[in-house]
Amino acid sequence: MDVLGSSLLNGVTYGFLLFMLASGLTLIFSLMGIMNFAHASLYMLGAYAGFTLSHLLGFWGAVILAPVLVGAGGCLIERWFLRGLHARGHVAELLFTFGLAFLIEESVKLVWGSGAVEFRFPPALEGRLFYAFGAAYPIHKGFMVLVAVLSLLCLYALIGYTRIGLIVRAALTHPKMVENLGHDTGMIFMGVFGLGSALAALAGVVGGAALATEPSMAAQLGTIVFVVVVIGGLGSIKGAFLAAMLVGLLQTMLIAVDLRLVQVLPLLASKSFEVLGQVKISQLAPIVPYALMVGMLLARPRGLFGTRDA
Amino acid sequence: MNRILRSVFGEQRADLAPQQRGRSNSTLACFGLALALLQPQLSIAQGIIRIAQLEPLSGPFQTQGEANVWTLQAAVEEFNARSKDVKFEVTPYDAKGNAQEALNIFRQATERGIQYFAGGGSSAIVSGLLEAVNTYNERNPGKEVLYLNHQAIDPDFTEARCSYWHFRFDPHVFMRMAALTTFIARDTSVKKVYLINQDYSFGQQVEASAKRYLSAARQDIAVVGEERHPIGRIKDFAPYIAKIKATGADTVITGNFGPDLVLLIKAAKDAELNVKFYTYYGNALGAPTAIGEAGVGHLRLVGTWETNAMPPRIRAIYDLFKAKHPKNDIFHAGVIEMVGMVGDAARKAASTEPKKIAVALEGLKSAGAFGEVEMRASDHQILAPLFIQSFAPVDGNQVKFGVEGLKFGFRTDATIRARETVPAMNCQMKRPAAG
Amino acid sequence: MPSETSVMHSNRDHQNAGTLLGLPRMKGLLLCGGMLGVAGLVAWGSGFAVLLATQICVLWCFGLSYQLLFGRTGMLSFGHAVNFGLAAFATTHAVRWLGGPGGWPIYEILPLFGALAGMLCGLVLGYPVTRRSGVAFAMVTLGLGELVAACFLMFPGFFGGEAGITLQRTTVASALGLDYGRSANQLVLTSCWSLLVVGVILWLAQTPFGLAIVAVRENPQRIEYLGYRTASVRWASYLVASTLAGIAGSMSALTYEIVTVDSVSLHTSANVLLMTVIGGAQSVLGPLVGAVFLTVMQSVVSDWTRAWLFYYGFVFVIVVLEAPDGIMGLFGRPRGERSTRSSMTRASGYGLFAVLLVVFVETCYQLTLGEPTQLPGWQDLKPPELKAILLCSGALVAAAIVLWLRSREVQQ
Repeated sequence: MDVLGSSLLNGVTYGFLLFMLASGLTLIFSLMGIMNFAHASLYMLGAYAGFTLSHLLGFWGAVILAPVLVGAGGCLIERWFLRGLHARGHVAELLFTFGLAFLIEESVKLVWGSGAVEFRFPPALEGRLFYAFGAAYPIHKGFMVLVAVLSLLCLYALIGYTRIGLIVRAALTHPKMVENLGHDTGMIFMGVFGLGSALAALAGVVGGAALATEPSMAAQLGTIVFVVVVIGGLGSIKGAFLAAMLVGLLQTMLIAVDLRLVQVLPLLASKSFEVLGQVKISQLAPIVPYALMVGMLLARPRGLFGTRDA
Repeated sequence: MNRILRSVFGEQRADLAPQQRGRSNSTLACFGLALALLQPQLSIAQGIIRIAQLEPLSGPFQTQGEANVWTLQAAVEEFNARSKDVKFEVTPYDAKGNAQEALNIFRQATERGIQYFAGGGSSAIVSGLLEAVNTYNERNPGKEVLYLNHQAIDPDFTEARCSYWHFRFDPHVFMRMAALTTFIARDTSVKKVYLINQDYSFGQQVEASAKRYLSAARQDIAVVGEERHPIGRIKDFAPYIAKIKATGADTVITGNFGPDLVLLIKAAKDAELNVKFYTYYGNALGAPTAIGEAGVGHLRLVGTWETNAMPPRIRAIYDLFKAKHPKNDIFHAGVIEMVGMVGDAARKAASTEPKKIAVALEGLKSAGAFGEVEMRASDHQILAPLFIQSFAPVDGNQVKFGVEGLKFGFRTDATIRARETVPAMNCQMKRPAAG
Repeated sequence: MPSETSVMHSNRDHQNAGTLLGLPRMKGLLLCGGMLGVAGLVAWGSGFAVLLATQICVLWCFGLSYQLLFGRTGMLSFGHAVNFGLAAFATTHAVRWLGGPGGWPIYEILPLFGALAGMLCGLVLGYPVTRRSGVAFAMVTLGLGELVAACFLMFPGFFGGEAGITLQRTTVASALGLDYGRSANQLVLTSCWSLLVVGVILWLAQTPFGLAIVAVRENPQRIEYLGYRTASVRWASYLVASTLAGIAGSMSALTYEIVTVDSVSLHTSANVLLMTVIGGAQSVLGPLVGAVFLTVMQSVVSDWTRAWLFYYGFVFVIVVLEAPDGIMGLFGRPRGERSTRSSMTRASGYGLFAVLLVVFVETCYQLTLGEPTQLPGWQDLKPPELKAILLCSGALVAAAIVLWLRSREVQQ
C-alpha cells in the first residue's frame, strides 16, 4: 500500500516535469509542424544556464533569467534558420533540429566539460515537505510541481484569454487564413518557438537541479518527450498534460510491480521462453512508453486528443 | 625520419606527458589518411614497453575513461622517473564505447608496432578486444600481443573466456563480493539486505554472487528483495527507494556506478531512507560530490585504492595525479598494479617481448601498491588486497585526504588480505606450444 | 499537400528524376579511381588502411540502402539500423551454426543470409510502419528502434547480452579457396558486394518501380489517382532497402567478427542518416563520400582532437542549411552559375572560417579539459594566452556567422 501510494506521488511529480517539456513541444509542433528534436537539448541548455547563472545571481535569479535567455535563443533559431527551411518541407526542418540537438550536446561538452556539474537547489528548498506513505517528500519536488502548475495556468490564460492567444489559436488550425487577414505569422511563429524553448529551459532549471546535470541528459529524456507528445495528440495542451501524467504514472508504477512476465502470460512457461518469462515487469517499465508510442502512431496518429494528424 | 627523431627524442623528453612521446614527430599531422597508409613499421626499441590504452574518451563513459588515462599517466611518470632499464610509453586512444572502433584502433596500433593493449571501458569493447587479440595471435604467430586488463572485472575473462594472452590486474566481481560479505558478516546489525543493480552482465553477477556469498557467510541475513534497472536510463529512483523502504531493509548492496549511483543515493537522501549502501564504485565519478554530507555513515565501498596509508611510491603517484587534476581522484589501483607488475616482469625476463613477459608474469609475486600481490598462473588473475571503506569527514588521522576536492574522504574500516578472497579456478587455458 | 513527404532537394532534381548520374564522366572516373585504389591497397596497403577501406565499403552499402529509402522515396527513418543490426546478428549465428570443419564452402555468399534477414525485417516490421508517412513514419521508426534496442536483454541467446557475439571468419570455407583471414581478401569481397548493390540500385532506378518510388516522394496524391497505392509502394521500397541493409549488416559482422547491440541502436541509425545527408542523398556516390567522411572523422581525426564530434555535427548542420544535396550535390550544380573568381573567393572564405572555427573550438576544449590536444603547437600555450586566442577567434567566428546570416536573409 505504501509503495503504491508513494509511486503514485512520484509518478505525478515526474509527470509534471514531462508536461513542462511536452507542452512546449506540442505547441511548436501544432503551430509549425516542426517536430523539434532539439527540444530536449534546450532543456539541457536551460539546466546548464541555470547552473552558471546560479553562481552569478543565485538560484532565484537563475530560475527567472535562464528561461528568458534560452527563449531568446529559440526565437533566434526560428528566425534565422527554421524560417528559411520552411519552404523545403517538414523533413528538412526535422533534419535541421536533429543536427542542432547533436551540435548543442557537443557545445555543452565544449564549455562545461564532459562530466556532471554540481547544480544544487538552494538550502531553502532542501529538506522535507511532508511525510507520506513511509517516505519523505522533498521540498524541491513540491517546488517543481508548483512551477509546472503555474506555467500551465499561465499558458492556458495566455492562449485562452488574450488577443495574442486568439491569433495563435487561429493560426493553429488555419495558418494561411490568419496570414491573409494581415497578421504577421512570422512574429507569431517566432514567439511561439521562443515560448516553447523558455518552457523547456524552465523545466531544465528545476529538473537539472533535482536530477543530474550532464551532457547526456538531453538524449535520455528526449525520446520520452516525443512519446508524450505523440500519445497526447497534436494541437492539444490538454492532451499533452494527460499523456504526460499517463507516461509518468505508468513508468513509475510499473516499477513497483514485482511480478515476472511468466506470471502474467502463462504461455511463456515453456523452456524455450525461459529467459523471457523470467523478466520482471519492473524491468520492462522503461520501454513501455515506446511501445505505447508505436502503437498509438499505428492505430490512431491523431493521438488521444489531437486536432491534426501526425 | 621517425626512427631518427625517436632515437634523439625518445628517452630524453621526460618533461612531455607520456602520450606525447609517441607523437613528437608532428609534421605528419596534416596528412591523416596518408599517415595511416604510409606509416612505416616502427622498430621496438630496447627497454621501452609501448602500450596502447583504449578508453571511452567521448560518449557516456567519458569521465571514467579520462580518469583511467590520467591515472596511467601518473603511474607511468613515476615509474619512468626512478627506472633506468625499463621505461613505459603510453598512447591513449578514444575507443568511443564501440567494439568496431576498438578493433580499428587495435589494427592501427599493431601496424605501428605496439604490442601491449590496456583499457576497455565497457564489456563490449573488452570482449571485442580480447577476441581481436586472440585472433591476431592465432593468425600471426611470432608477433603476439598482450592484453593487460586493469579495469574490466567480469569474472568471465578469467573463467570461461580465459586466454593466455590476457592478464587481469584487478580483483574481479566475485573476489570483491567475497571481501564485502566477509565484512558484512562481522557486522551484527545487518539483518535484511536489498540488492539493486544495473541490468547487464556486471549487475547480474553482483546480484548472483551477493546471494551466494551472503547465504554462505551467515545464515540469519535475509535477502529481502532484488531489483534490476536498465543502465543509464532511470532519471528518478524514487520508486525504487519506495520499494526498498517497503521491505524494511537495513542494508543495500549495489554495483551501480556513475549517474546511476548518484541518482540512487540522491533519491535515498530525498526520501530520508536510513540504510547503509555497500557499493563497488562509491568513490568514483561524481558520486562523493553528489552525495555530500548525507553519505557520512551511510556510504561504504569495496575497492583497491586507499589514501590513508600510502607507501612513498604510491604517494608520489597520487601527488603527480593531483597536481594536474585537483578536482578528480584515482579510484582504483589496477592501473598501478599493472605498471608495477609488468615492469617487474620485464626486468625478470630481461626483455620487452610479449611472449617473454607473459612467461615472466605467470606466478609472479610483486610488491604491489598496498601489499604483496601475485599473478595466478592458472588463470592470469591477480590476487591483491581489498579495502572496505566508509565515507567520513577529513580529520587528518583516519581520513587524511578529501576526495574530489571535498571535505570528506574515505576511512578504511577493514583490509581484506588477498588470501581471504582467492577465487575458484574455472579456467581451461589453452597454452601456446613451448618455444 | 506535397510538403508532407517532400525531401529537401533542389529544383534541378525534377529534370534528373529517374537518373542518378548528373555528371557521368566524373562519376565514372571516380568509380574507376576507387577500384584502382582498392587494388593498390590490396597489394601494398597496411592492414589498418585495408580495414578502413573495408569499413568504408560496408558503410557505403548501408548508406545506399538508406539512400533508396530516404533520398529516392523520401522516407526519413530513424530506425534503419534495426535491419542492419538484426541481419548482422543473424549472419553471426549462421556462421557459428554452419562453420567448422566439414562445413559447406559458402563464405562468398554469406551476405545472402543477411539479405534474407533484412527481407524478413522488411516484411514483418515494414508493413505496419509504412502505413504512415512523413513525420509520423519518422517517429514510428524511432520508437521501433528504441524498442528493439531495449529488448536486447530479454533475448541473451540471440543478442549475446552486453558483450555481443563473436565469430571467426576462418571457420567457414571459401568457395574460391581463398583465405579470408587475410583482411585484403575480405576487402575485395566486400567491395564486390558493394558494387553489386550499386548495380541493383542503378537498375532499379530505371524500372517502373524505381520511377514510382520517386513519384511517391514528389506527389503522393497524384500517384494515388493514377492507380498506385502509396502505402504499398512505400512498403516495397522499405523491403528492398532493408534487404540491402541486411547485406551491409552481414558484411559488417564478417569484417569485424563481432556484433553488439550498438548495431541496432539509435547511434548507428543516426550515423547512417548523417552520413547519407552529408554525402548526398540523391546520388549513388553520395553515401560513399559520406562513408569516407565519417570514417576519416571517426578513425583518423579522433586521434588528434576530442572535438571531432562537434565538427561532424557542424558539417551536418551546414549541409542541411546550405547544400541540401550534400557534397555530391555541390558537384552536380551546372557550371556558369557563378564566375570562377567568385567561387574562389567563396571557397577561400569558407576555408578561413573553418580554420578560425577549429582554432576556437580547440582552444575551448583545451581550457575546459585542462589537457592538450594532439594538434601541433598547442601543447605549450598557457591559459592567459589561450583565453586571448579564444576571445579573438570567438569574435571573428561570431562576426563571420552574422555576415553569413545576413547574406542568407538577402537571398530569401
